[in-house]
Amino acid sequence: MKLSNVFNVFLSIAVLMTVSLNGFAEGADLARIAEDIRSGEIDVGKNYSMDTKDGRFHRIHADKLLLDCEFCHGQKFYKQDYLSADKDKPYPKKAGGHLKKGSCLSCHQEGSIGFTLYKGATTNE
Amino acid sequence: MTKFVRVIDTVKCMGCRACVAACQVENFSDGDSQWNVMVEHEVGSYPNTSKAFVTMGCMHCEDAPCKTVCDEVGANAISKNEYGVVLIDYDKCIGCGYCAPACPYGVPKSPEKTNDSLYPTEKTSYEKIPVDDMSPLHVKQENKAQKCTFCWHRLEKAIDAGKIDRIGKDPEFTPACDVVCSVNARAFGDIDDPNSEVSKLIGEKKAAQLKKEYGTGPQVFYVLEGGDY
Repeated sequence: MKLSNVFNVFLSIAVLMTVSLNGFAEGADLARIAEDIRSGEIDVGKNYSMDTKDGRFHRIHADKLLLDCEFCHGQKFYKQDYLSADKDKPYPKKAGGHLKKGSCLSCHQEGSIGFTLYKGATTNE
Repeated sequence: MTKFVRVIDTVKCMGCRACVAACQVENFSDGDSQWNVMVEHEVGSYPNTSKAFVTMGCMHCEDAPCKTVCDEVGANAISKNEYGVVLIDYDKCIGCGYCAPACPYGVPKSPEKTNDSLYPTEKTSYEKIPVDDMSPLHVKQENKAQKCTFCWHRLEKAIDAGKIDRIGKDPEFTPACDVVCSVNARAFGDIDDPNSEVSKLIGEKKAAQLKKEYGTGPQVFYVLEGGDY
């Protein structure tokens, strides 16, 4: 097994543990639910939008995976030296804070539970 | 092959924001939809402090997550052309907004309202151009994603005129933000040409890509205090 794969397994476990420790979906359940969403067994609709009521994005992450708002919107403010073009963009009042991009990376890099969005420097040859 | 990249020297940058203003005028972007923003922060501790300036626009990533997620939802509105420039087709964009959270750099914007005019009292000379004569990339649509194009309308002009070698050298064929920098903190050119200014800067000054842990292969390089990390 490649070192990068071992790293990804540990990363996935860490994410799952973090989620379960925070009282959201159980770790193993999270991976199963993600798989069921991908296979179509769990219907999340076709409304591709960020709408928090019936948009697919929040239905997947909040309604089905039961991620608390703070899992993604955990920070009220970015650290002073955080580099993001939308750093000063005001967020909707209901959002808990700015988006923690690291949360996306943990589940959406190669070998993790989400579909691969980031190849991740750790997986490069 | 020709692959365009940008190098920004944060050691030279003094935060004047001329690049931000040039982008606003050239690309009609302001308010909620700025294509080039200045992120500034203090470094050090009192009394040995200074300010660091980092301008950020689209990184035109090799493996652009915005494109990945756009393809995933079936819109296929985001493409990466043979010169490495990532562009959005406003007509194909369905306004789902997925590209915004997917981007590690917080770049794509989907403003509810497109700008009428940069200034309240008069139009800039660019805004006076009839819509039919504008680049399609400047005919923005409400609630559709938009972002920096590396001033593709300028690069395209050079390519059509057979002057691709003048990109990054002639002002008319170089992105507006790179042209106006008064301290030469910005360079634009072909990374596949070992003699280009960008290639030399990346090699000699160890210019680095930001947020490498995402593995997106950004095509904007930054000269950082202390070199690559």
